[in-house]
Amino acid sequence: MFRALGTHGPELSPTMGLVLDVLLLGAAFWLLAGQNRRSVHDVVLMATLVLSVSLLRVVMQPLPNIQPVTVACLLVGAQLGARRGAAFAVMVAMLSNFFMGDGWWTLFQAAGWSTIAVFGANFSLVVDGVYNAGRTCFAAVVSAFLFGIIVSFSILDGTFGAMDFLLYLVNGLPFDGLHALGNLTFAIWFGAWFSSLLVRQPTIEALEYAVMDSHGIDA
Amino acid sequence: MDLRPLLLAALVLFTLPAVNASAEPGAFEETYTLDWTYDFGGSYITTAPLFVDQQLFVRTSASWGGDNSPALAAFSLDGEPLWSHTNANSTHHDMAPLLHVAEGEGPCGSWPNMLIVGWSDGQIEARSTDDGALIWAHQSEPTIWGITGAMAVDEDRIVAPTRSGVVALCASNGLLEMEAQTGLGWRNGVTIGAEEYFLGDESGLLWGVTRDGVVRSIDLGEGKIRHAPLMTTAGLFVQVQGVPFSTVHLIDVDDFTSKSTLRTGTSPAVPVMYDSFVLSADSEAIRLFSCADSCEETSRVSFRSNGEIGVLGEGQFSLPFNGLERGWGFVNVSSSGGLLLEVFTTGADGYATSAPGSLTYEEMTYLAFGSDDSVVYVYTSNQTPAVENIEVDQMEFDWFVQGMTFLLFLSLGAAGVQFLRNKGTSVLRFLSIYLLIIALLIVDQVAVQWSQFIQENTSDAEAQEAWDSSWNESWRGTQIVSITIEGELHSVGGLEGYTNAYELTMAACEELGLEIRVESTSLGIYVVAFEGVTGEGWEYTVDGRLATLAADSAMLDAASIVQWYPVEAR
Repeated sequence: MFRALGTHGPELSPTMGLVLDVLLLGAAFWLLAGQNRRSVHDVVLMATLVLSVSLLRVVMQPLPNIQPVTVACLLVGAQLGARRGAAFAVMVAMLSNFFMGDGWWTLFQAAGWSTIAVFGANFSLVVDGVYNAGRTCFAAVVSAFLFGIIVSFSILDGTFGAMDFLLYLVNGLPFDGLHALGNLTFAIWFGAWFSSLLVRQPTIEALEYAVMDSHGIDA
Repeated sequence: MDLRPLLLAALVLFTLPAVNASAEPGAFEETYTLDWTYDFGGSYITTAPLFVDQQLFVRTSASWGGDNSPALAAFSLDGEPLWSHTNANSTHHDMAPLLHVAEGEGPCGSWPNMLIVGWSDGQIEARSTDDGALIWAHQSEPTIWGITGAMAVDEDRIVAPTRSGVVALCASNGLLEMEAQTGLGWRNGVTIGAEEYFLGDESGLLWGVTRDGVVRSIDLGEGKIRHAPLMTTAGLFVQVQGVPFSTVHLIDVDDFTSKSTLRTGTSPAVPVMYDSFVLSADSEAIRLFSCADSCEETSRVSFRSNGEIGVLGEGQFSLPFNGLERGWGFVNVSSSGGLLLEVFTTGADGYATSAPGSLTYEEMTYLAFGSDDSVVYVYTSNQTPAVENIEVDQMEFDWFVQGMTFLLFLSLGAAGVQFLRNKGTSVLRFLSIYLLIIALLIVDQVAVQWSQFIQENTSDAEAQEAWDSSWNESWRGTQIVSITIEGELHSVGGLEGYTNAYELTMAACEELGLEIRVESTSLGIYVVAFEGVTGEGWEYTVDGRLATLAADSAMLDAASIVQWYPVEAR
């Protein structure tokens, strides 16, 4: 059987691979960079999230198209914002593919999960600090198909006609369905818990400032 | 009293897999010692070595890329080569089992002790067991392949399945006594019935041929019949090899109808009979069928074997594992009707399809193993094998399947408990696990079925012109294969009768002398390399359209064009 279904796009030379990695890493840093200085807590939280979700993806690799990263991207986007969600997605794609196999497809996986993070940030999964389980489950299912479509673009190399691409997408539906079911399971079991981990905690300085400000007003 | 712990304990006990204690490993190694080997050098051994009296006969087969001619060789029991004969005209895989015919006489004359050899070039030969001298020969009409199935003796007749029919030859002189046309067959052994000869073909037709050549047939559906039907007391046992499963039919030979069917795994092996039982194997398991009044599967053990099954003794069998992970299996049928399996290695391990030959002579037991590495390994033991003497593992424990099954029960049970407690969210949680496990277990088969459905409904939608102007015009209307290896195009046409892309590609590689390496997965057979070139993987088109199925699942028509090229060349 042809292996293109599992081989997304052309083989990269070492130089091209390096350029791709630099581009992705640069994109992640650009997304994380901002005018506000990040606290140590933010950095540690992000690093821990990236490491643990990447590890989870690698460990779950034997299960076909079970992708814990998708729901994580949704919730990181919802709680930390689109930029940090997208940065998280890029870094997880890069780090996990370092173990699972890097290549042209990393670009599309990063793009897919980044899109999902943006989707999560804009779909009101958390409103006023309240986690919406129903919307998260719905978004988790939709995300699976969205991710499938974006990643499938990696196969377009000029020789694929529109019908070929459509057939390619349709052929992959059973595995997209499995991805959706896996997402749903993750969302039901861990969505609320994972979301609560990401709730912004005020820094000590912010707390002190708030207390002083409050006392100042009282005085 | 809180009954929940009790309920959980009961659930765990109920779902514990039935595993019996396994015995000491290495019973084969303790019982048998390697006595001698013989390397044929670059040929395959695709059918069982045969012990006759105090001689061992081994036939070899042409191999992918090998240049040794197929041979028939005789050895003494201590490994001394006695004689050999080669057939340079037989260039395809020779897999028709050797048939020994003891000396005798009948209405058409008398004959000596002889071996009947069917070759892939269509030649059927009778050769003396003493010195290999040719006694008689009959040339049948080959259609790419010639004789590939098991022949049989019917009193003074040698009955052989040819590529497109069946012939009955006088055992004395090889004269043709009966010839009948059936369907195109491959590895389709023939069975001698009370009134008829029975054999199947590649189109799923079962044929009955009377001794004077009157033919009848029954269509058993899409699939291939690649074994000699087995005459059980319940009826004729016929396996139809299909995708994604195979079907066993029990045939009433009087009115030639299918009485009942059973579903089995893919790529079934050649089944064998034992009393009222039939032992079969496939890519999933070794299966024991009880066929006294009707056939039903009574026991199975996880294994993958797709070739021959050797009968070693009463209720004792051996068969090769088709893969690199495990070597060979000893199978015993226990007194309770269960299957007992011991796995062992011999040297002739990996993708073997030939059964071992066996002989018990002067309190010595001989076992001869062969495989695609062209070496025959002869093991001996001074212990007479008996069912009870071989210690075995009762059941191969599949941690993944058992674990999944356990989780299935657990999640469903937990969902039920939560439902009784009116915990709606928890019910959803456990049901999601349950559904996910089921989806994981079935996704491969669903994907294959789905792709087949799409292929069937879009077959003409986007077909492109696949004809290459450099091809021979005489190939039009036939099956054609082209393979682009490192920029060089290898093409062959004029092929016919192949039903899927895998078989057609294998035949093309044979014609072109190309080496092909494949791997079997749960989704089907993938081509890993042509001529050792793996690249980023191989893909293929059928009639110009990119295939979306494993090669063995891609059905072809009579004029299909299959084109292979590396992914990076797309």
